[in-house]
Amino acid sequence: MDYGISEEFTQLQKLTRDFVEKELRPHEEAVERSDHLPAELRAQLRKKALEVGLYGYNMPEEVGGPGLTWFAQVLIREQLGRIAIALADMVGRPPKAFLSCQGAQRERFLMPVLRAEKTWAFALTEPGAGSDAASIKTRATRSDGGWRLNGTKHFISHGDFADLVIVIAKTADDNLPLALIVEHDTPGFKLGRIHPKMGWRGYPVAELLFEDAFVPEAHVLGNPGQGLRIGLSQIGEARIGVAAHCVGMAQRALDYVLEHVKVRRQFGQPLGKFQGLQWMLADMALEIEQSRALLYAAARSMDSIGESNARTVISMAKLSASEMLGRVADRAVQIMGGAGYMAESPIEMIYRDARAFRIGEGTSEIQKSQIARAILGKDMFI
Amino acid sequence: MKVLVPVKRVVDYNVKVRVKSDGTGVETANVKMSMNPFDEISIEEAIRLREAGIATEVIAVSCGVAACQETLRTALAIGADRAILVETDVELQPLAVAKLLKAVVDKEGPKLAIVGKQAIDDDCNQTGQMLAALLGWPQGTFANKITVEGEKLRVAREVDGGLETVILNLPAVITSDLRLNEPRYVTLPNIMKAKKKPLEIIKPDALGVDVTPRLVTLKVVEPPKRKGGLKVPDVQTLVMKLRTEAKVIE
Ligand SMILES: Cc1cc2nc3c(=O)[nH]c(=O)nc-3n(C[C@H](O)[C@H](O)[C@H](O)COP(=O)(O)OP(=O)(O)OC[C@H]3O[C@@H](n4cnc5c(N)ncnc54)[C@H](O)[C@@H]3O)c2cc1C
Repeated sequence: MDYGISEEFTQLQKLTRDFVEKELRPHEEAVERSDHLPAELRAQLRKKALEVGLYGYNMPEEVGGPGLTWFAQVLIREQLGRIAIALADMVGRPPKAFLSCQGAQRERFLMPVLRAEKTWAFALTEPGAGSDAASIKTRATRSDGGWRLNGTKHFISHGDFADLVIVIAKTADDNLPLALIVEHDTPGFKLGRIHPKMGWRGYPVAELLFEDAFVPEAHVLGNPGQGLRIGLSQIGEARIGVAAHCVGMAQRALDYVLEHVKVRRQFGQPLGKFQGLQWMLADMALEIEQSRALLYAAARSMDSIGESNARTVISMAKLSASEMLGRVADRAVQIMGGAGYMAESPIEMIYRDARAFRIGEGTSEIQKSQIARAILGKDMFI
Repeated sequence: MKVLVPVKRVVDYNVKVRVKSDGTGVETANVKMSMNPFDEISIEEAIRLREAGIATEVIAVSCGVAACQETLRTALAIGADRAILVETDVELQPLAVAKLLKAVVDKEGPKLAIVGKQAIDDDCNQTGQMLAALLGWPQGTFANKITVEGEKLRVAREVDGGLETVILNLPAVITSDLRLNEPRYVTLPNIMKAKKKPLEIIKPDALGVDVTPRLVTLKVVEPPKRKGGLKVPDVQTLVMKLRTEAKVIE
C-alpha cells in the first residue's frame, strides 16, 4: 500500500521498530509472566529511549522536543503497538498538560519530565465520574498559600509510582475545574488499592486517595476554570495514539498468525490451505488496512486543519481501530486454536490487552456520540 | 582528513527477491529498498573516525537513479556531513561505479574511501578493488578492524583462516566486512537534521565518465527449487549416505 510515507518518516518507523525489537522485546515475556516491570529496568529503558531521541517524541520544538507532525507521531506509535503496553510506555509521551507550566514550574516540573528524571500520572477519572468527566467530585479548598485536596481518583495509570500526579479537581467555593500537580510524597496523598485487571500486565492502574492533601499555589496549572481544558488538552493526541497503537497491535497479531498457518499442519496440510481460515485472514488484513487508512487520513487532517478541528475524524479513527483490533485479536486466537488460548504466544496477551482500548480515552459509545453530534448538528443534542 | 563512503540503494534484505517474468532482471517495482547493509557499516566506521578526531568530514556518495537520494538521506541521518549523488538512469556496473567514484575522489580529495565489501543485490564484490586499482591506492579488503596510525592504516582482514593484518600507506581504500562494527541507532534528532544537510547532484558527463554498460545480461533465472530432503533413521545411515550418495566425505 502506498501511503506516500517520506524517507524521513520511514526512518522514524525503522528506528522505533528496531528499538522495540532490540531493547524492549527481550523483556516482554518476563513482564508478562510476573506482571511487574522493575523500577531499575524502567529507569534503564527510559534512559535508552531518551538517548535515541524517542522519549518525548510528542513534544513541540519550543520545549526542546522534535516538533514532529501528527503523521510522524502516528507512525512511531503504530510501531510501539507491537510490544506489550507496559514496555511501549517506556517510550514516554508526557501529557500536554505539562506544557501549561509557567515560570518556575518549567524547571520544577516540565524539564525533569522531559529529561526522563520524573514520571507522571494523569488523574481525572473517579468512582463517580468516568465518561462524564465534568461530574468529578474531588474538591480543592483554598487554604493558606495553596489548596487542600479531598476526594478519590481511580483507574489511574502508574498512579502508584508516579513522581508527579496531574490531578483535575473542582474548586470548593465556585465549582471551577482546577488542574494541579501533586508530588508523590505529599502528606495526605495516599495510594489506595492497585486494581487487579484483565491485561496490561506490568502496567499498574491505581486508586488515589486525597485526604486534606496540601498543594501549594505554585503547583496549580493555569487558572481555576481552565482545569478541564488543560486536562483534556491531549484528548486528540490520546485518541489518535490509541488508534495507532491498535493498528500496530493488530498487525503484529496478523503477522504472527500468518507465520503459524504456514507451519502448523492438520489433515495433512498447512492450516493456511484451509479456505475457511484463508477468508478469516483476508478479513483481518482488509480490516487492518481500512483502519490504517483512516488513521493516516485522520493524522494528516490534524496536520492540515489542526487537531481541534479534526476531532470527528480522530474519533472515527479511534473507534474504527479499537473495534477492529477486538475482531482481529479474536480471530487470531481462533486460528491459533489451543495455542492461541495458552499464554505461550503473544496472541493471548493481545486478546486481553486489546479490550481496554474500546474503553479508555473515551469509550466506543462516546466516540459514536461525538461523531453523531458532528453529522447531526448540535440541535439534536439539546 | 576527508573520508568518502559510497552507498548503494538495494532491495531490502528482508524482501524475498523475485525474478521478473520476462527474465530481464529482478523485480524492483513496489519493492522496499534500503541502504546496502555493508555501506551502513562503512558509514558507521567513518563516523567513528570523525568522533575520534581522525576524520574531519564524512562524505556519502551514491551512483544511480534519483531515488538514491533517499539512501543518501539515510547516510546523512546516520551522521555523514554531506552527500553527493551521481545521477543516471543507466544500469551501472561495478567498473562504471568505480570510475565515477574515482572522479569524485579526484574532485573531493579524500584520504580514505570506505567501501562495502559487496552489495547484497548482485554480490559482485568488485567495486572497492577496482576503485583502488584505478586510483593506484593500496587496498585493505574485508576489513574487520581498522586503526589509523599517523600516515599508515592498520587493517585486520577477514580471510578464510582467520584474521590477517596488513599495514597500508594512506590514501587507501578499505572494504568493510560484517564484523567491522555494529551500526548505531539512527536517532530521532539526527533523522530530523538530515534533511537540512547538503546533498549535491551531479551527472556522469560532468565527471567525464562514460558509464555505458560493458557486460550484457542474457537472462536472469530463479535458482533451481530445492528438492525435498530425506530423513535417515540413524547416524550410521547418514554417514553412509554422505559418503556413497552425496560423496561429500570420504
Ligand atoms: C487500563 C486503563 C487505564 C486507565 N488510565 C486512566 C488514567 O491514567 N487516568 C484517568 O483519569 N483515567 C484512566 N482510565 C479511566 C478511563 O478513562 C475510563 O475508564 C473511561 O473514561 C470510561 O469511564 P468509566 O470506566 O467510568 O465507564 P462509564 O463512564 O461508567 O461507562 C460505562 C458504560 O456506559 C457507557 N456510556 C457512558 N456514557 C454514555 C453515553 N452518554 N451514551 C452512551 N453510552 C454511555 C460507556 O460507553 C460504557 O459502555 C483508565 C482506564 C483503563 C481501562
